[in-house]
Amino acid sequence: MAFRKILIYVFFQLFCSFSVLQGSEVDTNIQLRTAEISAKLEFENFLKVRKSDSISRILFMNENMAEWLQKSSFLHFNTLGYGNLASINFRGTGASGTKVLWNGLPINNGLVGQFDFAGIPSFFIDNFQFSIGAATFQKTSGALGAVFDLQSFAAGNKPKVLLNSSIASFGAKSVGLSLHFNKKNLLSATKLFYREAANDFHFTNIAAPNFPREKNEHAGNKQFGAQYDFVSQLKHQFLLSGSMHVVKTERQLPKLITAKLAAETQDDLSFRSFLKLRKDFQKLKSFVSLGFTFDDLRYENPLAGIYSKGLFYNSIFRGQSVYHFSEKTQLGFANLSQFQQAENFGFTQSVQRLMYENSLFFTHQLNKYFSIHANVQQVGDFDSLLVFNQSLSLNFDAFENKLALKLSAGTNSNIPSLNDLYWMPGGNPNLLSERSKSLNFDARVVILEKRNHRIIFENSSFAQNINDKILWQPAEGAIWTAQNLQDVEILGNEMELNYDFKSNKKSGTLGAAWAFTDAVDAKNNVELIYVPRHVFTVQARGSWNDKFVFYQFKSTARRFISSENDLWLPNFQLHQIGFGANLYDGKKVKLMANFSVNNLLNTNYMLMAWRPMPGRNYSLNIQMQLW
Amino acid sequence: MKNAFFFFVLLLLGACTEDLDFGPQSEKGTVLPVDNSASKLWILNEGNFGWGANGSLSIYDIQSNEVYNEVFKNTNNYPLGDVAHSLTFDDSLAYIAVNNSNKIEIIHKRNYRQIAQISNLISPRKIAFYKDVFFVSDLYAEKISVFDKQSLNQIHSIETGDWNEDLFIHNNLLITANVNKGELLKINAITYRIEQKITLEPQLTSFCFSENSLWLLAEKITGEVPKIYEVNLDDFQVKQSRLLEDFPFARNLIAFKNKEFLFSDGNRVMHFQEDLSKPIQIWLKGDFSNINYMVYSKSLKELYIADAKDFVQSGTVFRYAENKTLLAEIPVGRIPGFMLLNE
Repeated sequence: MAFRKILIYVFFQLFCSFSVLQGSEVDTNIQLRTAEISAKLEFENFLKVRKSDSISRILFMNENMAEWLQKSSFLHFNTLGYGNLASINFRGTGASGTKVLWNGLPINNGLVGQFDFAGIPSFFIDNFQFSIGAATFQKTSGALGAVFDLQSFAAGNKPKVLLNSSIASFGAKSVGLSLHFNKKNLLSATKLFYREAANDFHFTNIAAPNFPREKNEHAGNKQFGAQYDFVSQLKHQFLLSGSMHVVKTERQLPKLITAKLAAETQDDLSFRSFLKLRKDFQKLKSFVSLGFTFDDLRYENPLAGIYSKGLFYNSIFRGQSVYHFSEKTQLGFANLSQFQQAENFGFTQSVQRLMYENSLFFTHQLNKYFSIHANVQQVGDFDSLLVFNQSLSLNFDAFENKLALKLSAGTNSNIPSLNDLYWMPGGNPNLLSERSKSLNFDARVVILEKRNHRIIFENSSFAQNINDKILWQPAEGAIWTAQNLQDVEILGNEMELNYDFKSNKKSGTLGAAWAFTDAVDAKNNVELIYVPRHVFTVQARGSWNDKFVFYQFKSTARRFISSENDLWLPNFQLHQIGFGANLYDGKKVKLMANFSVNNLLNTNYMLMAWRPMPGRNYSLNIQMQLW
Repeated sequence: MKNAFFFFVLLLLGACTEDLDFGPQSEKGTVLPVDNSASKLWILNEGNFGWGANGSLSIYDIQSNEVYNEVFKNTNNYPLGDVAHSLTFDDSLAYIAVNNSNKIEIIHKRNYRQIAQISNLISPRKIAFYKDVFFVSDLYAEKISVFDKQSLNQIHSIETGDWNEDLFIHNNLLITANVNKGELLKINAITYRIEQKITLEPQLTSFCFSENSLWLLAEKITGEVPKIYEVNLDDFQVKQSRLLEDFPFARNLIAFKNKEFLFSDGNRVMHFQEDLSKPIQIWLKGDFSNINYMVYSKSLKELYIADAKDFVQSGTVFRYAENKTLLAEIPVGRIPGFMLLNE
């Protein structure tokens, strides 16, 4: 049986590779990043896709991805503090229900299943987009919530050097250097980054008698790394691109404010690389990618005598071919295969698994208004695990894209992490994949489009069931064990209203978004912990004559922190502003500066129980561009 | 206009929210137990380790059958801390070791008000009093700290080289165990010197006394077999021992009626007599999820069983008469892990 599966797998691999290497027509256009002042929401490949904007990229270039994302959107992250492990529980689907790709390849850590958004500097990422919907598995399986696609690439028509330097409150400083070269058919970008922060802000200790003001100690962190991106035009119009980066993150973990001593540290080292070969024929668009990632996660607590080390290696193959039968009909096939190896101090021996995802997708324009998109996917690991995911979307598009409606339904599945399976004691090799069924209805209406003004209303309603969600709970003898215990029911609605204005030298946007999520543990009829029921944001951005301003108000509703819903963290509101300008604009030298104030009203709040967050803080960022 | 703008900016920058309600919240209005002479069961709830920091103190009035939760927080207006591990009485005071908050809270038994706090301990576990001093065991410090009762200053430490848990005073001796090494230690409580050491099984975490014997249970968590010992306190020699092959989750050894003992095994309460060669029998099989602590009152002839359930949600204490009649189910805080009767 296993041999038959291997044969099928090899066949798919060969088919994929063959498809890519055939044909003669080439797309010579190397895609460049376009600067958009507003975050764009689109329906792309029948997914709801949100893209980054250029103003927040400039403002948060000296931060990590968690800070960039949460300071520029309605996304809510759970983190122990600035620079510390940050994960997202998107729509209540859990930290491992959000998958992260870097240039199309999966980079979630297989040991824990989740991705640390604070573990990658914003400076290394040129663009991001996140996709939501029933068909996210066409990017990678397991994204019960969303897929974040972080992108970096070499771009630019002429060589340039960019030096980015910042100082900020609480001993934060950073420097980034980016070198872009253009030589014949090769574009390349080399980036170096260093950031450190003492993170020694003061807070009111509400867990101590008389609520003293205390300093956040043992909370410093450092992050540094290097990245190289290239893209090259080869013979026969093949396009070869690649990226490689190494990031080291050293963190002191601040103590709970109920504790007196702190000694925990966490050092993470990540290496990621990929090569992608692409060729587009007249009717066939194909690519193959090869990638390798390595994570070394270390945790130490000298007080408790704990020194843990987890190593995770992932060798990745991805191939995709899309055949355009006509302008109306497309059929595609994709394969994602991963060979994962891990060593962990909690494992009795090193573990390996080989997983594959084979996806078939079909798109057809039924008439002027309607189109359909269907996906099926097979997920396996050559042993007993075999899951089929499927989705179906119906799109309606009318009035020259001024009204777009999408109804989609699908199933998805998330395989257990290696810790869930093999950690001793308590790992459970018999765990099933978490299974999800979802129904989504998205609408996008251009209410007004007149000269330079545009008002767009967007709404997404969703219902989702997740079965066999994995929880660690004490089994017989009080040994904590991973079990398929929880069934989750999620209902929600995300609504946005945006006004855009654009003229020759000025542009601006004013928008409000409201995200409502009701994520309930169906067996006990209680809300899931750390999922805010409401997040409301207002954003304003404007640019004129090489200057820009940015403002965000974000209100986060209370979050339950106990499974019985009798304890919670209260709602909080944060304001932040930023502005920037070109200080000097010469022929070969440009000097830009921006300044931002976070938590403008000095609000006391916690993202995790008993973990204080910083009050008002400032950041000054200066960029110099040569050539 | 310019002035108004600057005034607005100054107003924003000067704004500072002084509210103290930004931490974990719960429904308010819990009534505090009134001071009276009635017997009370003090229940210490560990709380969810690390992320909840919601250790708490529950007081159960045995006569009125009333329970009061969050007594420490509601009295002192700040939380007890993370992993409230053990409770010890000394005259009118109660000492609470809060393990993961690295401290001992000292409160008055009558009104539950905080008297003092000993901080900067590494991971305090149990406390034992002897004359003018008290001893504190620790999970990680590999030593037992000695504190002066009056000044609360640390005056000495006894290097043990291991995790120490239970502490017992017997005559002028402090008895404890090196948990990981499986060593039973006899320490002179006056000179603080280790006088004798015998090696048994690791994981010696459950102790009780009966006449002149110390009874110990070596728990196992990784599939090995738990073991019970009886050690003569005079010559510090093992009188008898028994492997508990049929009770892999044996924990919580307590002295029961005269020369009888109980321990928990998963959701069962097991019974054995002084002669370890006699059969061990099920004394009670209740609707428990995870028995986390047991205490027996000889004067009331009642057994109290703390059920931590799934170690996430709030726990329950079951009150049983000696004839196994269930007298009460007492809803308490998260992970009830220690109980003490103030009779």
